[in-house]
Amino acid sequence: MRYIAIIDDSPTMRASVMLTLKPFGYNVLQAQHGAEGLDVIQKAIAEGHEIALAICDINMPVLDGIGFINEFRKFDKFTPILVLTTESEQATIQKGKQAGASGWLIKPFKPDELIQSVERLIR
Amino acid sequence: MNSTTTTNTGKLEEKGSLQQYVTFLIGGETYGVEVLQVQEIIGMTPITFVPNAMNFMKGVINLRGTVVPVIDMRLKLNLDERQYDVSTVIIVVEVKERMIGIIVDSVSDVVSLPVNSIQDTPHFTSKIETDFVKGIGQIDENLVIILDVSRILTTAEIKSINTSAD
Amino acid sequence: MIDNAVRDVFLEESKELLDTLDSDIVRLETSPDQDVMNRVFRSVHTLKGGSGIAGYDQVYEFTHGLENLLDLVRKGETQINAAMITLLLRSLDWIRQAVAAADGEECDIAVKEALQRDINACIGEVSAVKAGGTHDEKPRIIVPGKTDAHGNRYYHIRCAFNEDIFLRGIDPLMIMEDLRRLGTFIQRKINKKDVPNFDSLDPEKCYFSWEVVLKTEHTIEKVYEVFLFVHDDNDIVIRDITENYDPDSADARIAEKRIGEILLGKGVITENELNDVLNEQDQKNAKLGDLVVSKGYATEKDVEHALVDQEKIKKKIETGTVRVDTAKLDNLLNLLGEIVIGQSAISRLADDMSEEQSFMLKNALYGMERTTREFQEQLMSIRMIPIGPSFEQFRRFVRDVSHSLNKEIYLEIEGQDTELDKTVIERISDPLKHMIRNAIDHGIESPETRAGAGKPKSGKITLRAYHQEGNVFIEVSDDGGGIDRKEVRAKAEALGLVKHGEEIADAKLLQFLFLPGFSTTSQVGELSGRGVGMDVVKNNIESLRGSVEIETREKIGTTFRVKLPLTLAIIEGMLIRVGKSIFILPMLSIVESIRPRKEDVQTVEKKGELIRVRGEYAPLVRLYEIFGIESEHHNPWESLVVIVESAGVRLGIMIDELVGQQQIVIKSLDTAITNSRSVSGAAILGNGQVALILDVHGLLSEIMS
Repeated sequence: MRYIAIIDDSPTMRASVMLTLKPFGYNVLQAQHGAEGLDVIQKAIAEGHEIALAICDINMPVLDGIGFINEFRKFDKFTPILVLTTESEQATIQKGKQAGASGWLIKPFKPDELIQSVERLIR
Repeated sequence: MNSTTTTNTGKLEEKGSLQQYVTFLIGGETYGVEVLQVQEIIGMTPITFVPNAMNFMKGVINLRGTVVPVIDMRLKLNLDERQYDVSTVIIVVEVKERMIGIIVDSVSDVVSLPVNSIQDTPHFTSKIETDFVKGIGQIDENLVIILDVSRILTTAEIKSINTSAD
Repeated sequence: MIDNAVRDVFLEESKELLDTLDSDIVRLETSPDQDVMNRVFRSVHTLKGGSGIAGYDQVYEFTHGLENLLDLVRKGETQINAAMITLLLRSLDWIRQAVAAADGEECDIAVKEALQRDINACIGEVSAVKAGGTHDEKPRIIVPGKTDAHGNRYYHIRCAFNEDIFLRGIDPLMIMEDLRRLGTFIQRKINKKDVPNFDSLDPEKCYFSWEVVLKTEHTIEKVYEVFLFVHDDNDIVIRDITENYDPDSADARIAEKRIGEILLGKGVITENELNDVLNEQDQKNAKLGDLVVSKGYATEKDVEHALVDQEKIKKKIETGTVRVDTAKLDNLLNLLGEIVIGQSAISRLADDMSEEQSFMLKNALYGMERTTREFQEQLMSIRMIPIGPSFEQFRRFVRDVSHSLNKEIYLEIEGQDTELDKTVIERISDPLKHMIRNAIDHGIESPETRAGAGKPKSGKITLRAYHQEGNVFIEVSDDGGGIDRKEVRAKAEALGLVKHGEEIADAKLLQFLFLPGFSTTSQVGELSGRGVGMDVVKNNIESLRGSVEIETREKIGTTFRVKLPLTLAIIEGMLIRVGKSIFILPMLSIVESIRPRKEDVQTVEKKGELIRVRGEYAPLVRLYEIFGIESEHHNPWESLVVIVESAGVRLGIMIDELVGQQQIVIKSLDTAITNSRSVSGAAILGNGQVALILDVHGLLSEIMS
């Protein structure tokens, strides 16, 4: 089973991502902020799972998306990261990319847009 | 249901639409409840008395971890109380996601009756309150009084419990 | 189906967000705090995202405007004021209503539009002051382009990826594959000239570039989409060369030129240059406070914050969490209850065994019981949540009510980390609201009166929670004028509750305030209304097996102190027997059990039977009389008497036998079964029988009446 992590402080967002991806055979890990995301991902790796993709929000408490990407890239250089952002956060896309994000998706998105973006990054 | 002819044609047309009833005896009369409403039928079991309850509320029993109130149908029907014996059973019915046990003299049978053959109840006897009687059915020569278990504990009674306590 | 599930989650989430927003916004009014402001912004932002995903289009659109306004506020470009606070709160009300409505359509559009006008006005004011700060997003010019006679288009695509592309988690091969899926490559060239010697080759770098000609039915937009994540910071050049394959297409050249310009623009700016521009722009924004690309700047600030946090987090990475439906917890608790029942059943079996066997079995059981107890404690701790959020929601309430009464009141919250059972928190909310309303309405004096009494003009209400001796205490205190005991006494005398000149303890006198209708009939100014709903408050608290007392000091204020059990589901119980019936008394309410002497029992006229315990008299309860059941003993000096206590009042209960102590899983009893106040619930014993749990407080009030 392939693992995808969704890191977003909004339960609605997490539920939507989880429910959209699950039928496609992805096991979705959830975390509410960057720090929890790192923890969840490291645990999954420690248990021998492979993370195929991390999806993260930018604006989050405790550790935000940019901070998460920076930290994540310290131990994983190649796993793609999809950033969730809003049209009002265009400038952050650049910052995300600098930090090592692979792609972005503008909220709110439709399920097929999410799937498309995910498939653009992983097979 | 205003004439026999409609009842008859109804019977023909609705031959497939049968409803199953669990029938039981109380004071020599046959009563029935829809089989779907019956959760299970158990023998008499120790009943824990509950203070400040309606007279027909005999108390509560433990049904696999659930506390279920039981009512004595004789008292509810204004009949004399009778010593419980080996044939006395508790019919557990589900009403609005709650379980209620009904103590009856004995269980008789499960019968199928055409839905259309159940007739509305006129005030056929002053002795029985008719608000929890759904209708009258017939098996051979005998009448079956179909009960509406959802009305056994009416709101009026719940209210009266409340007020009597104050 | 997915939609419904997401909706459900959003409903829950929005409720939490709106409650937080309520209290945060009210807090902003009194103390503008950047952290709170940022949180408000983030909450609205999250609300926006969630509503969009969950399909609440009206809410989405609305929160968008709200977010813009808040963005100005948090960047300090406009000052928050009372009018804006009110606008924000009314906006929250609308959102709440819109979310509650079955779908966005049913909500009040007129209200929404009015609010939007106000919000826009606020934004407009700011923009007008700042004039000229608008930013135009460069529209991307895309001309569909011609096709050849067979509907095909031809694109020449050159992609030179940055060396570090792998480090962004992107595989160029995957992009090339995506591209190929659009059609067929009629030409392909892989440029390897940049690949270094093997010894200086870094496997983490990308050295290849590609040049392909793609034959496809798709438009250039579709081709761009493939490069969506990379085209602006990698060297990607896409040219429509359909013309070369379809000489008839005259317009192609123009289209190509335009596209070429844009591509040139994109291509010329390297990643570094672009970032420089961005940084510069950001800095400018900081100085000028430009509105538009503002998000980036603000986020940078957040990043700084996050970096500080990060150090802390490295030391203590939070443990992973899961969200669990409380119904599942309840099920677990029920199952545990069954285990507890099973254990006592085994323990009973052990009684019938030989002494040696019984000892061994009971020893084994003892260990198991310890484990179940611990299990239960752990399980209960999951259900425990801090009361803070529940307290916070009252900030809005206090503001609204005090404004409507022209009073100035500040709400202080203490002990927000105090944890208690989720169900208790849910069910205590209404009684608390009543008490707070009472404190605002009748506790705190008008500003004029306060000024006259030398007090600060604005009153203070304190909500406080703390743990003590296995209970949770919640206090609602006001610094108002206090309750006038004389008035209460006069009223009590008028109602015949107490005789003229009779001594009565303060606590008992104040308890009269909780009697139904005690003060509603009163016309004595300040006191009238004190009792409105207070009997309901008391009933609600007692249904949680709690109690409430009042402490009041003239001119200084009044405190309502609510005492609540930590948990509702399992209690330590004492089984008692009267005749053939077994009842359960909560261990917490038992003081002792005694065998009274004949001379300790007295009958006092109009007060019934009293029993003397350690020099004090307590009312004696004959359960068999109250309940109309059998009993072995009818004389107190022949039977046992259990002394119990509730809210500082003692009571003696006549029983035949103390059966033993046991953990009890409480099952509620429907009011349709009984609403006797003497019974708080039922439990299933080891032998499978049901026993009723006695409510000491209820017993007390029953014998008093």
